[in-house]
Amino acid sequence: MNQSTNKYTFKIFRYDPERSPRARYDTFSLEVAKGMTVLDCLQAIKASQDGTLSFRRSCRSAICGSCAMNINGKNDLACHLQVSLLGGRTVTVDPLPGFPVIRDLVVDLEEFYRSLERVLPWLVRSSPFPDKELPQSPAERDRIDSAVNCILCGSCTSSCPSFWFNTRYLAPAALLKAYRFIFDSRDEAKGERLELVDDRNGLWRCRTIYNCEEACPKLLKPNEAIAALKIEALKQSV
Amino acid sequence: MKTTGSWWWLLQRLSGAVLLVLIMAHFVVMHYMGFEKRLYADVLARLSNPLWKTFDLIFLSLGLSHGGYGLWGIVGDYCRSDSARIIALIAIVTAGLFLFSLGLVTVLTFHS
Ligand code: HEM
Ligand code: FES
Repeated sequence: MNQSTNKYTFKIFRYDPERSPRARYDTFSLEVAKGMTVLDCLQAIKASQDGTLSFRRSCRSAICGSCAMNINGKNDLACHLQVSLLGGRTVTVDPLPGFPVIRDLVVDLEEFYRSLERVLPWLVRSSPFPDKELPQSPAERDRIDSAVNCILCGSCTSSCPSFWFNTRYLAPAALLKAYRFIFDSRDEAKGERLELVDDRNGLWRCRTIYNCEEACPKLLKPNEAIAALKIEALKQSV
Repeated sequence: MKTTGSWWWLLQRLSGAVLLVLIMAHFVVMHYMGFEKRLYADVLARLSNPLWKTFDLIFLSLGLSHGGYGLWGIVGDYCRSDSARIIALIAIVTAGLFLFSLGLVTVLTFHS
């Protein structure tokens, strides 16, 4: 195949409030080699075409969650998504929806982390820790297995219309984190945790829209975690 | 007791499930019992029947409470200000009670 047939057009959201209050799209043309991810392309554009292009990235291997952005209308990790898997020759890249944009593809995740903090994302125990490890049976571990894999990229929360209307809503990522501790056999703050999510801005703002499941690049199911938490909150209030 | 959303959520699910059945019955009666069943005399007979009165009262209360709570949920999604929420709550409850009494009077006092 002729190399020059592998040209893609990148339409990238640009915003720099220090220069102009207006956002715009810039288009870049790029030769895309086999196997290149969207992040590789952004780096190439930044290196060779426009050094001012801003985006977050760190691990480049789908584990840190820094590079979540909206690619052709879907939230995904830029470092995970290969350009050849996208249909068409134009790749539109936007910042994660629902968060304030700081610059270009960099969004303000302040509210996201605040929500996370509200659900106490750490192990809480009143009984003393054993001398060695805190054992958990395989079945107990299975219960939280997928929730543990969340890398906090923000794709799910950013895709949630309930969060768009109300940024005080805990939203899927924080609720998945709450689930991860509420169903952890080693944690001893279940009651307190359930009270935190059984709140006007908690569980009951979920309208079962399912965008979060579609958005998760790790194929987790925050919607199922929220459904399980609703039942658990009900059991607690009986 | 701490106010929790869970009971309301359960009630919304349950009333939704019951409404599904009632709405289908309502739909069949209104649209599939044949044109001749929609004459004034038939409506009259149905509305005079205590069993239909019971059906209508359940339908009325569930429809209104489910719809009212659903609206309240939407208010919760969009309204952040407490005063707006209180006004909306008063409006929903007032409208609900008004429609309920209207329905109650119609169903209870109707006779041939
Ligand atoms: C076929 C019968 C019905 C079923 C199965 C049903 C089911 C449901 C369920 C499960 C919910 C909760 C959704 C959630 O928690 O996110 C809901 C919400 C709602 N329902 Fe119904 N319902 C029915 C009929 C009605 C009727 C007759 C009305 C109007 C009077 C109504 C108005 C609403 C509204 C306004 C909401 C809130 C919408 C939302 O949460 O997004 N429903 N319904
Ligand atoms: S750069 Fe770490 S997840 Fe993409």
